[in-house]
Amino acid sequence: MGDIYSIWLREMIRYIRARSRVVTSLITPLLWLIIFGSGFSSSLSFGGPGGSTNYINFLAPGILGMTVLFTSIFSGMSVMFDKEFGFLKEILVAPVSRTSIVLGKALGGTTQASIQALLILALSTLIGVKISGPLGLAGALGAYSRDDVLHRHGFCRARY
Amino acid sequence: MKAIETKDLVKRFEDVEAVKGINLEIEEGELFGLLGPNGAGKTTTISMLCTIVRPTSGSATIYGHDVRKESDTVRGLIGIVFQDPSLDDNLTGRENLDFHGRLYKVPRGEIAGRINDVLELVELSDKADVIVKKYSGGMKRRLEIARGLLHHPKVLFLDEPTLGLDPQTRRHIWEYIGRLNREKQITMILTTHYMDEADQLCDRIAIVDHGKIVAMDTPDNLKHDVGGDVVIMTVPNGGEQLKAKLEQLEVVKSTQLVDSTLRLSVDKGETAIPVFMDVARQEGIAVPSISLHEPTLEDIFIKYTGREIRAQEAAGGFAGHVPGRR
Repeated sequence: MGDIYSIWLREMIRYIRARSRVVTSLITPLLWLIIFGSGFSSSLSFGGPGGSTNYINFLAPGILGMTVLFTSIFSGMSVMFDKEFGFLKEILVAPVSRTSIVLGKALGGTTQASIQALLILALSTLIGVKISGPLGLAGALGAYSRDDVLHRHGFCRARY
Repeated sequence: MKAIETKDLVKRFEDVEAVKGINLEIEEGELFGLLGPNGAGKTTTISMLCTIVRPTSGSATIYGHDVRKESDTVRGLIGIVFQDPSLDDNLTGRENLDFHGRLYKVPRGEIAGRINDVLELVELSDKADVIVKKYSGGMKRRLEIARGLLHHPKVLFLDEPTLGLDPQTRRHIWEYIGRLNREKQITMILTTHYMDEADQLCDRIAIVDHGKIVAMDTPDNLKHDVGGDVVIMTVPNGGEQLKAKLEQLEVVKSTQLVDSTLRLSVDKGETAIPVFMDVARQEGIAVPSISLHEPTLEDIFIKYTGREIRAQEAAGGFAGHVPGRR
């Protein structure tokens, strides 16, 4: 357990330090939302069982999913960087189970992606996206987290 | 119980047999050196002992624990200072050490204290909270040594510990290594191509070539084996003649003539030189230069392998080539 925490902690320290990367990784999804969302919303309208809604409301979940996807991929790639720069040796040679290493990295990436997604979510409400209610929000976040861990797990596995 | 024991350790990579049966017995508290050119198999042997590489056959145990079956236990007992950099450049020195301490289950209450101890040991206390990216090559090496010691391992593996460092730092690091070995009784395995380092530090040395140990003994015994001091004479003309004459002298143990360089192994070089010059003068053979040196491990290496150990060859490290610069 403690091992997973240690690996997770390192991922988080690195994430928080790379502030410029965090900011730039938020810009792309925001641009998509703003440009496509606001741009189209006046000309398109979507109907469905729940009533009609704005294009931007339709677009936002997809953008969230994209944010989570790309953050996950990048986090999985961090294993490759560790190998390139030699740090992987240090991890492999320590008395830590391989499972803990994979889980620690997966959870680290999950946390990062979740933070990114929450930030995009918060910013998108400022643009005008409507959230249907706390339950819906919780459900959506739950679904994303699950997908996210799976993505990352797959990536880490492939690398090892 | 022996600190390290290997029996007929073999490693085959597809069709290349890198290690062809190594037998080692290293005592607790020994400072043991592995000498050999790149490709000799010494790096593969060490990798097997560190549980990075799995042996093809044979066995290796560290304090009785098999490296294959009890690899986690073994990892907790050993510390490694890699040759290629293996620090996280985006963390500070202290964070690197903290990470290591956590992974090696150093008790939480003790971690901070030990970190300060090892930082003091390698004189990096004032740079502890600087990002490692900003460290110099020597500082990074010192931090890696500190890290290798943090969890108080029983066996420490050092792969070319002073490669690329300035003479003053090298001396400091020799001092730490020697002191640690003496005071804390940590068994140490050193890989090096620096003769002076092996000579200065090691209790015993194994010379590895082509996957086998070709010689293993204390540095003094090995040097003694070469046959004492080495006198080198430049003889442009009459080398054969001079060689024949000098061979008859009792003090001369062996001779070797290559082009116009005559090498002689003698017991006491200082007293032999005047005699040699006399003989040369008597024979009318010109000897423009003559030099004397005590046998170095280089001479031992030449004796046992017939080749020189080339300094440039000694790059490679434990886990293969990882692009990275000090």
